[in-house]
Order: sequence, then structure tokens, then C-alpha cells
Amino acid sequence: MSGLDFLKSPWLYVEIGQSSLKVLNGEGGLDFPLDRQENGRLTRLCREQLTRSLHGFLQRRRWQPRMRALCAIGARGVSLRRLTLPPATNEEFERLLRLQIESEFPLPPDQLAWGYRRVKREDGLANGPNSSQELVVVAVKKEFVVEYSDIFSECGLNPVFTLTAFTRGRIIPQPGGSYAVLDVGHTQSEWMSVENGAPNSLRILPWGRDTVTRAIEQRLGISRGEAEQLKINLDAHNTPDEETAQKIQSAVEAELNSLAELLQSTGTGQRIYVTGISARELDLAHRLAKCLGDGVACEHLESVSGAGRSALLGVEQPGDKNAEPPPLLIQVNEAESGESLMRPAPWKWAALAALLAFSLFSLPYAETFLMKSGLSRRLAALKVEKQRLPEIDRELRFLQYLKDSQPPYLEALAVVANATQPGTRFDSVSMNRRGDLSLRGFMRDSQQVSDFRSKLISSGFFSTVVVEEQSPTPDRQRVNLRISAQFKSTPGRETLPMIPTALAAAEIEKPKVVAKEVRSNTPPERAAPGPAAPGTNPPPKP
Amino acid sequence: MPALSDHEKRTIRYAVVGISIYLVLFGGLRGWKYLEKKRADYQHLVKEASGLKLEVQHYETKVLLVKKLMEGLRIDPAKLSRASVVGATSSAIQKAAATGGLRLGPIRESPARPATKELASMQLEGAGPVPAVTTFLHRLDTLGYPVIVDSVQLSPELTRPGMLKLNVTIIILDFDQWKKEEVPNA
Repeated sequence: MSGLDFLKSPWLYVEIGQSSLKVLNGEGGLDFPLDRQENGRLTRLCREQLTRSLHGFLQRRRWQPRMRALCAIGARGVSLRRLTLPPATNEEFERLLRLQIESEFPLPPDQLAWGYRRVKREDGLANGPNSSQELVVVAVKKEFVVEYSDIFSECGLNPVFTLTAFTRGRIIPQPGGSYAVLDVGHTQSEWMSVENGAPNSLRILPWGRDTVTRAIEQRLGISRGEAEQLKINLDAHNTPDEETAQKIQSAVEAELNSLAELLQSTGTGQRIYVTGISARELDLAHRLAKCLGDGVACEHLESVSGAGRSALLGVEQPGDKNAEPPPLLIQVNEAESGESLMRPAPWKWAALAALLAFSLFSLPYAETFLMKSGLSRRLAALKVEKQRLPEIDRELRFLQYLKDSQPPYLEALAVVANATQPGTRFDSVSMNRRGDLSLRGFMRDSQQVSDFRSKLISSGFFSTVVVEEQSPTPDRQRVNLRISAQFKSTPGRETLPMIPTALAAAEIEKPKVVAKEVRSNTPPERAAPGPAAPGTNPPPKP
Repeated sequence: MPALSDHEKRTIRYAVVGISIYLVLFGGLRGWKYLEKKRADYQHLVKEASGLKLEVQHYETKVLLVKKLMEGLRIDPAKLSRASVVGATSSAIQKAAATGGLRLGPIRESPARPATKELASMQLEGAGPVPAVTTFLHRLDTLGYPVIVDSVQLSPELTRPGMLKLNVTIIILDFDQWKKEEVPNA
């Protein structure tokens, strides 16, 4: 058993007879009676019913893979020829074969469904391009096969066609030799002779079970049913009387002799295998051997057990597969008419697996070849962009320096404006970007100076506040002062609740102290009574 | 040409098979080495690209910061021209003063101090009401030119009550010197 057998889709076996169609799907079977027109085609109703029956029998889902159906057709209408082709290359072979078919068969190849198989030559030499090739070609009218092919395709099957006679031949004990197979049916028999394992001729003989029945009926003058009954009990000793038995025997022997003559006219060979239920009932093998004489051996073959079983079971007999090639196939499509047309599914899967493995292996390398050029281009572009990075650094440092170097003049003015009290006047306010603030002016008294300084310090905006000079005027109405202060550095200022620049400007614009004093330039109000404010450094307590 | 015997045919067949196997193996090995080299080059490129990508990603933050500063200061350093920046700055200052209601007096330019990466310094005098002065100071930060206010001096206008005298010293930075400066490694 091949390791890839599990990958094969299941086979369905179909035997297409003249009056019935048998389907075998594993253990299940379907026997469908066929209703034909005069030209042998199925009636429309029969086609529809057959399609429905197959659908119901198979119960296939849409997602399931299509089953393969091996369909065996009867020998009626089938032509078998042994052809010899001159040496030819593979390209010429098909052309030569078509020409031969055209000359040997009654219809052109286009109107035939046909198949062929190379035959091993009798001299033991293998067929090859330098030697003549012997072929077995079978052909049938294409429309006959297409009719069934369409039905099966509609039912989700992939049909391939062969002959029932070929499948029957596969249950022969020694299939490689020369022999003949006779399958006896109701009204006719199929005769196939085989030489060295290759089919030699295929014929339909007008002799069947009904032939014997009719002979008994006529000889005894009885009804068909009675004749049938007598025929079944032919070998039993329950015939009505001796005379009747002799009449029956003579009638049967006469028909057997006619059969023997038919067989002798076709060339019997040394061994005949007889198959069919009718042959078993008539004990045909034994009787036929007597009629033929001359050392011709007849043997009855029980092809399969059970009346409903198909002869196609011979195809799936264990052990036969390796010993014998698959049956010769009749292809509907001419392009597939080669002898090895039935490509086993596992090879497809194996090829797919190999392709996937190759893809898996080659993908990293494919990526290299496919992506490298694009990556190189992108890398080159990135390198060009990278040259701009130092420029970004320089711009950032420049802008940060510019931002950090902007002194908070408006914020400082806002803090000063908030700290001043009524009666204060500044004659000069100076600031620079190093953070130095210098104020010159006057206040009403020392207490105001002290409060002003305290507020400046508590604002957290200044790191140092120094009252450089405060001197009361001679009239003690005001105190002239000079104050210097230092802004805190930027990180220190950042911890404070910052006054936005716009708000600071608004704060300064309030007509409160400086502006008021500057604007009015009026003398200060009188200082509130009380002790003079101490200077910058209050006297130490005793 | 004489016909070959079966033995000779078989010998030739074996020779063809052997040579084919040798060629396949030899060629395969060379091909594999070639492919491996190409792949190694590609991996190197990928690694280089990854490093570069990380480096560029690091700069994304800096770019955002630069954008924010440019918007805040209204300056595009790339558009600054050393030849015209002083004149343009002077013009922008005068425009800002006029817009805010500040009456400018004399403007004095002094030479640059290259050591401190300065292009020029300007001393302005002006007078106006308090709102005009504060607005002017506020606008100096967002003129769109690399200007730093070096010092500010305010004093009351004695002859005109309610008016302030303003004395401002401005430094214009030399951006070209920053461009030439070597950037320290991050």
C-alpha cells in the first residue's frame, strides 16, 4: 500500500448495462433500471430520475471533493482493434494513432470516445520509438459516453470510462496468459478473447439465457414461465417424466451447440472462463466444455458474490493492483486519450507538497532578490535624510537658546507692580538679561520700603533683594530709595505659578502705583503716623 | 556511426547520470553559497535600516520640539538670511512700535560681537503710554527674528504726564554661527 493512499479521493464504481445501471459506493449499492429510446439514448425522464437518485444515494455536500467514478460500459456499440504503428517519436505518435483510428474505425476520432494501451510484443522486445508499436484501441460513439459523463458530472463526480469486459478480465486467476471470457446475459453474451494478457477481440453474441428458455418453450409447447422454471431445475431430478427431460436436454444441447459453433467461429483458444448468473444456473461451463471438445477447458468464475454486486469489484480486488495495470480507459476528451490518463491523485498532492517545500526553502532567498533593491533605495533615502539630522540639532539648540535667553521683563514688572503700595514713585526702572533689576524712587516711609522688599522676596521671583539706599527727606514726608534685585534662574522660576506674559502686561497697566505715580507725578500723600520703618537691616534687639 | 551495444549504452547512461549528479551537486553548492552571500548582504542591509530607523525615530521628538519652538517664537531658522536679518529686524521693530502706539526715538546700531555669536546690537529709545510700552516689550519676543532684549530702562516722561520713556537694548543673534557649530554627539 502506498503511503499516499490516504490522500486519494474515494472511488465510486458504476456498471452501465443495457437495461440497468449499478452503482457501488463502498458497501452501499444502487441498482437503477434504465429506460432507453429506440436509438439507445436514455429517455429524458430516465435521465432526470437517474440524476435525482444519484444525488440521493451519494448525499454529497458542496464543500466535499469530487469523487472519482470508474464507469464500466457494456460491449454493445464498442469497437476493439489491435493496431500496429510504425516507429515514431512521441510527437508523431498521436498523429499516427489518429490516422490509424480514422482508417480502422467507422467514425472519425472526433466523434469517438476512445482509449488505447500499448501491448507488450510477443517477441519480448519493449515498445519504443525505434520499433513498431502494438496497441489495443477501443472506441465507442462519443455521444453515448458524453450522456453519462454529463449526468455524473452534475452529481459531483469525475467519471472515467472503461469496459465491463476489461474489469471482468481482472478476476481471472492467470491474467497474463491467453484465454477467453464469456459473460452470459439474458438475451446476449459478451465474448472477449485475450492473448498474452492483451484483449484481442470483443464481440456480442446473440445467445443468452432467454435463448435456452425459448428453445424449451418451443420444444415442449409450454408457457414461458413454465419453461423458465424447468430451465432453472435443469439439473435436478424433479422433471415430470423421462420424455420431457430428454426433450429439455435435447433443446438445451441444441442451443449449446449453436453457441459452440459461434465460439468456434471466433476462435476459442484453450481456456474459456464463463461468468454470469445465467451461466451458473445452466451449468454452462461443464456443458460447453463437452460441446467444444478438443481439450478446450471451460471454467465458471464466480466474479462477485451477491446478485447486486458489480463486476467492477474486480478492479478493487486486493493484490491485483500491483500485479496489473489499471484498466484501459475510454476518454471523452481527445486531449486526454493517452493510456496513463488516470493520474493518481497522490502525485498531485505530492507535487503540491514539493512545491510548498520548495517555496518554503526559497522564500528567504526570494525575499532577498525581491526586496533588496527597494530596501537599498529606501536606505539611500534615509541616509540622505540622516544628513539633515545635525541641522535639526543645531536648530533646536539655537531655538532653545533663544527661548531661554528671553528675560522675563514683563513678569518682573508685574511682580513689582503687585508689591508696590500707594504713595510709591519710581523714577527709574532698569533691567537686563542677566537678571539685574534696579529701582530708584521714593516711598512714604520705611515701613513701606520694608513691606515692598518682603513682598518682592515672598513672590519667589527674585533670588536677592537689596535696598541699597533709603534716605528720608528733610521734611520726613518720604523716603528716597534705591533697590537692586536679581531674578531667579529659569529652573527656579519655573516652579512658581508663572504669570503669562499677556496677563503680566495687563497687570502692569492697572492704574495702581507706578503708573498712577508716574502718570500724575504728584507729591506723595502724607505718611501715616507711626514709627519710621527700619532700614534694610533692622537694629538687633537688645 | 556504428550502433552502440547495450553495454556501451548502459555505460554512457551511467556516465551521464554520474556527471549530472556531480554537476547538480557542484552547481548546487556554488549556487547555495551565492544565495547565502546575497542573503547575508540583505540581512546586513536590514540591520542597517533598523538602526537607521531607530536613529530617525529618536529625532522625531526633536522635530516636534523644534516645531513647537518655531511656532512659539514665530521663527523659521532656515529662512533667516544673514545679509538682511538686521534690516528686517529693525523694520519689524519699528512696525511693532507703531502698531502698539509707541513713538520711537533714535535707533543706534553697534557692531557685532562674534565671540558671543551676535550679529548686531541695537539701542532704541521711545516714549508712550504704559500699555504701548508693555505691548511693545511683549511683541519683541515674537517678532520673527532672533532677537534678545538685553536691557530695558523705564523712566517717567517728565514733560508729558502719564507717558513713559523707554530705553531698550536689543541683540540680534547670528544664526550662521550656530549653523557652523559642531553638534555634540547625543
